[in-house]
Amino acid sequence: MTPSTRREVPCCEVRDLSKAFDQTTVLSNVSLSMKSGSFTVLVGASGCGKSTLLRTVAGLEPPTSGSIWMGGRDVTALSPKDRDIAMVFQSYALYPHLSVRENLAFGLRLRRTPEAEIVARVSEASAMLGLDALLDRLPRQLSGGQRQRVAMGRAIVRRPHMFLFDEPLSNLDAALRAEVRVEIRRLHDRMGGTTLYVTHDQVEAMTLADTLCLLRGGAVEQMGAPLALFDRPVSRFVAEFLGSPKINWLDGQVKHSSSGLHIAIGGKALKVPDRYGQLAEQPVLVGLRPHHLTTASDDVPQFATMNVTFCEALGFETYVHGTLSGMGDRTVVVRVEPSHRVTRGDTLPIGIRPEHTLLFDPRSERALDAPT
Amino acid sequence: MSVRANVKALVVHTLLGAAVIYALYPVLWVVTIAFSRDGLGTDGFVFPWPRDPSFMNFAIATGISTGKGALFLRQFVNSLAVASATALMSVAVAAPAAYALARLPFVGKRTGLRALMLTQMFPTVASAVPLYFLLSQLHLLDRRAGLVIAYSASALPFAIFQLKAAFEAIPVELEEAAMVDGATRFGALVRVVLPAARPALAVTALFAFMSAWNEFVLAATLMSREEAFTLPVVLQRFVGEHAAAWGPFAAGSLLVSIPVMAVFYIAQKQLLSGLTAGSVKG
Repeated sequence: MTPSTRREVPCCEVRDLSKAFDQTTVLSNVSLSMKSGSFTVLVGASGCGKSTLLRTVAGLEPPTSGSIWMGGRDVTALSPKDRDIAMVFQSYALYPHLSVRENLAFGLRLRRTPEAEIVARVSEASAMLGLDALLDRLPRQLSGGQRQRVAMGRAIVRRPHMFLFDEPLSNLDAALRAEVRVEIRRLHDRMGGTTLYVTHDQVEAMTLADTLCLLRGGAVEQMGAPLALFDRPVSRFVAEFLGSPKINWLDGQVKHSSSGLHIAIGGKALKVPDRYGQLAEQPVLVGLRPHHLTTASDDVPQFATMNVTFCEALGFETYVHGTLSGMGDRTVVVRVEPSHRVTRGDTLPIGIRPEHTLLFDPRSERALDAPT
Repeated sequence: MSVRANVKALVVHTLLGAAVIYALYPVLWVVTIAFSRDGLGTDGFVFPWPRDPSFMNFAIATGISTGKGALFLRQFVNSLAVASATALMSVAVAAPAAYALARLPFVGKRTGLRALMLTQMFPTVASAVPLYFLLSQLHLLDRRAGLVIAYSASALPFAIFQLKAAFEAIPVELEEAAMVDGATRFGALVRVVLPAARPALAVTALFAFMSAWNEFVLAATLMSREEAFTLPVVLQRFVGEHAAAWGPFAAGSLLVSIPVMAVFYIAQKQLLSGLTAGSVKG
């Protein structure tokens, strides 16, 4: 196939999808396109419509308007069983009366797969997920982590066109979650399927996705590569949603002077990154991520003085909370080297790496470099 | 353990003991009469221990001593067949109805539920006469099928409510998972929901079985031939207007309870097991 003559058909395409329950609009005009083999993560706060979008793609909820296309055909009216998808539910939804083996085989039996093939596929999935010792157990005899693996196994044996995950890790403890997260990505790469994954956890979203789709109030706020969203958020919402600890905010003013364009913050001048080009003199909201602030040194000159109110030492890094003298009473978090011993009441000279500064319009809360 | 706790335990156990005696005494009474040669005797007072123990009353109750053993067996089969068929039919009709009420939106759902509830408020006797005429028109008087229809109809509302609650307790995700896996809605019901609701189905069937097994008023109204009688009607015959044969009556009552106890014993595991445990994180 030559790219010049034929455009690749996306594995799954959502066109102008809207969904309302009674009078409540849950999704409005959502469009997204998933390339074959891609890993797309839908992320957003609770109630943003991400699960509804996933369920609509699965065929479990009919859309109010718009359409869903898979492999070039319109599947909007098809029932879930005819969409060639597999889904991993947040609650795992294992069949309680069936053994692990029969849970895995369930979908294949429904599709009248020959017995030999069922046995082969079940043992393949079971080996892949380390379920061999559990095959004859019932779901209630499994731990949470084991149930989660069975739920994934049930999806894998089907070899579907597309995998759907609805917050599959939210019932696991933190250590297991990190482990399974890596495994999910590895399985995706190995199976070569297309994956649509819903989570509210921004770490999961950032680490798993090829394409991150951040939803807000039922609409796509921003979509793209995870680092693109992190480094160039289109809005204050995106900037705040991604990153932990959260991005810091300072109120500033764009000023023109003889030496060029700068942002005045509490009497100090901060250089405007080149990519903003020409800006009018205006008030701005300045976004600075904790790792773009640092203790002042020879490389990074002092910009402000921090009055420390709280200190989180994590061992490999330390986050210092406080306010900047003369720059308002917003709390600011700064990442410092763990070798710095900082305690409450200290004052800390703070420098800024200006090239990472993000500027937003304080009224519209859109990024000043956002495409309009 | 402190004195206080001991006193408390003593009081609690005394009260519990009294409650058990209160509940069991009538049963003990029946057992005693059944095994006493002269039944209730002439003084009418019953010590919870048989006087002149014998199996005579059982022989009379089952017709063995009167040469009517075959008739009793037939009546026993009547009861068993009617109760089993009622259990099956109630569950078979109630399950789809309950599923629809639990899962599907439709017009008239609330009204329908209220109407079902309303039927529970009339005593059985009230329906005896209309049922008699209905079944007579259908030529189902003195037929086991007639009783099964009447019993199933009266067992249905409760069965539907019970199964509706059971289906509502089953996570919707289970069905959705089955539907994504390739099942139709009906397939998901048959392959996933019903197996997961097995304990509730067992309880519902058992309840219908027992109410049919024990029912007297309709059976006495709708069945007039001796060969068509069910056991409660047979029992009642022992304590007729003129002479009350309490001994055979008690013996018969015990025999009648055996199948129900057996069913309870067999179904015990189904009744108690939380079959849905572990399917979803709860």
